[in-house]
Amino acid sequence: MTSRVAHHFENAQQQFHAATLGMWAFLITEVMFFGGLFAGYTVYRFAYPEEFILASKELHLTLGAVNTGVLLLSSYFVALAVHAAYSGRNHATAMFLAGGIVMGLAFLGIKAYEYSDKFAHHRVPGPHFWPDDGHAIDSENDHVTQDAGERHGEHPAVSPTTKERVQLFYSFYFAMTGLHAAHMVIGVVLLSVIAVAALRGSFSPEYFTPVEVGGLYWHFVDIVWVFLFPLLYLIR
Amino acid sequence: MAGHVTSPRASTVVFLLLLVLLVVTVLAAGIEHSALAILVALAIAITKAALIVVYFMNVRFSDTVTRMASVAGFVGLAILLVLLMADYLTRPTDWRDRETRGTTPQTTLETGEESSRSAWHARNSSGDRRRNLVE
Repeated sequence: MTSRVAHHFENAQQQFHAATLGMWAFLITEVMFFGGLFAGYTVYRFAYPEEFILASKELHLTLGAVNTGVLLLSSYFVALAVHAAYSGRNHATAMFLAGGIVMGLAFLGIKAYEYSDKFAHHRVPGPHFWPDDGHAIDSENDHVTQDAGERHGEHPAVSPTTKERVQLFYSFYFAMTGLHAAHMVIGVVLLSVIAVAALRGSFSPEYFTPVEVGGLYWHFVDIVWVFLFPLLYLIR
Repeated sequence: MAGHVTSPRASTVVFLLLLVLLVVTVLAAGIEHSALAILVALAIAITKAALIVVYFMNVRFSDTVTRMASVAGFVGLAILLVLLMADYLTRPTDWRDRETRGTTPQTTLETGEESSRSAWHARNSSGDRRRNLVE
């Protein structure tokens, strides 16, 4: 078997350090990429606290919390996969990566359900956002009645200004969770490629760099959600 | 041997800690004290992120330059947020009311007079802007 160390590196150790440092350099640009959205969110969170609380309470807290747990579990599987690759256990690496991928897909599935729910309730920013006969969504009660007239008396009219600021919250919600979900999709593809390589017996204690670097990316996406969850779902 | 990674035992402990912190942050959000609640939520989120970076991302086994890289992005983001909010929070507050449609120019709470910002709003209301475009 030919050496996995590229000719411009002294040894496997140096190659591994160069690869992880390079990945961290990329992750710094990712922090800045998401950072712009977090900064914009922070400004308007301070500007319109009441409307952001109103909008946040419409999000499904239980689904958000479950999704956080699902993502943490996927990160745990990926951490185990990195250790398995480091120990030279290629089959275990592939199985743990598969666990991480399944949890990642579960996250995306729950997210898709939440998105479709927001579409159904006219909470997608645009011309049909919160029509005049609409009312606030009661996220604690999952079965929101579509019949506006039935509950109209319970929900006082919401001013156009409030609706615009609620729409601003949803713009941040869809931009931030959408960008995060796009990263999840890329991560699932990345982990799948690495899992196939593991099944072919590619990794050893001397060479498991792709597993480690792929893991760094996956954990970073997890960290983004760790901040998104309290900022979007837990405002009260 | 290239590098070193976190053991399954340590990963399991960290994962359980992360789940405990998740439960704590959800429960803490139920307490209605918004100013304190957001600080608690952010402190928990930062703790969770630190656990993930140090253990799952193996930074505790990394060399010094990688450790520096692992905090550099977050330090940069902290600078962005601190300077940005230092600006916004020390401005007159009426910029918040500016862009909403269908509202009349606001008066400031302090003086009751029409502020310069509101005058800006009045000047740039849609009718005027259209006239400017025509000219």
